[in-house]
Amino acid sequence: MKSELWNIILFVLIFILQVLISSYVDLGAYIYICLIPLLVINIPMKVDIRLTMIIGFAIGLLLDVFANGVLGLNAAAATWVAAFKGPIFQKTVNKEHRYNIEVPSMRNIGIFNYIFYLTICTLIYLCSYMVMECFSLRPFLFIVIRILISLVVNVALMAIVSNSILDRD
Amino acid sequence: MRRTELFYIISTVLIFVALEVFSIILASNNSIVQRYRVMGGVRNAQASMWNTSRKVQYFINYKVENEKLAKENIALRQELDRYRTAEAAVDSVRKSADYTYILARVVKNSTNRQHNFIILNRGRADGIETGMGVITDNGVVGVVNAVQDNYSQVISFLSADQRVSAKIATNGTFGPLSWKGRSVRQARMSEIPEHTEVNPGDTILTSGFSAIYPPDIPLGTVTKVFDNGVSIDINVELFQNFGALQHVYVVANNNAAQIKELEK
Repeated sequence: MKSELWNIILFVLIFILQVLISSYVDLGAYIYICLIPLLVINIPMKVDIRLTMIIGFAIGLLLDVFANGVLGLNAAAATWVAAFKGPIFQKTVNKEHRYNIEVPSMRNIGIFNYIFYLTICTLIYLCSYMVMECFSLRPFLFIVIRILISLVVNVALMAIVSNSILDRD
Repeated sequence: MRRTELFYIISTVLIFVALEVFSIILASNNSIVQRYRVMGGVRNAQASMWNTSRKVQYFINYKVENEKLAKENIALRQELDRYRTAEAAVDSVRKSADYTYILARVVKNSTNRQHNFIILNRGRADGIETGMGVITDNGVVGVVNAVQDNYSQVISFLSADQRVSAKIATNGTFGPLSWKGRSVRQARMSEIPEHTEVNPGDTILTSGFSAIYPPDIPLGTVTKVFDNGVSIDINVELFQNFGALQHVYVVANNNAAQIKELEK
């Protein structure tokens, strides 16, 4: 119970951090910082996928509202991650881990598997977000470069946050 | 068992599609007005918080701001003198009467996305309406797209879908100017006829071919010229520093209703 409460507090803190980053941090046109995929993939695997999608959608929509962005961009992206995190997890880990692990972390599935899982989820998130944000309005190459640079930065950032804050006893 | 599985799959797909469609509808409507209606309370609280934080920043930076205002005053006095003495003074005064300017302070400004927004501390109570242009002495800032009693929201020029009708000062050739999406100081003017003579260093102004912005507001200077075989594209370095916006003018076109009527 205490642990669940602590996790909820951490979720809220990470969400507030994301709102502050979205509102005040400008790292240039090629980097979009998003910690939302980390929140979505930390929803326990035992939670029904339909509920996971609704929670993901709600987290994204709240970010859109509080960070003063275009409504729907983060909501749509978070819904994609929520819908596909289960199948991606199944493909990432071996049978032994597949049904035992509630929340994947570096400790329980290994660094390589966790980074791979995080990378695919973040890639889905960024593709959805950036395609909806500026698909026909910016050159294709610009969007691709933006996705790739943001992917590298975000995976590194989320791995650090995950390892140092979420994955602690 | 099969039926249950089928129901599970169908319901999952339906929920996913419904959430995605709802997101796309929200995003395609840009839904700012909608958000103002639905989230009025939240937005008021946020705007009030941003306003307080801006006031603190403003107090800290008041010396810099005072110097800036003093410089602006000198420039305005010089401009006033020019109007008084110039032969075209009568015409200029008549033209300026077409617009009313409402001073506003920026309480929130974003520059880190492909769609950026600005919140101003003036709203419906101050005469601001949706569709009004927002400028400073250094160029255009954006267009008002949602208004509350005491606050308004502006779609920044730094947005992927914003266009300003601009012209080259030396020859009057006009074309749309839009943000390039990378640096906050870089824009591109396109669709310039091939025969047009344009050189790096030339000034770009607003054309005035819309009911939103007055004509002849300086926007930036030409940095590079590209010939794409059909027309000329121009890279423009903007005068406006969007990262340091403090005060802006909301422009009310006094003839906007008549212009819109004619455009129908």
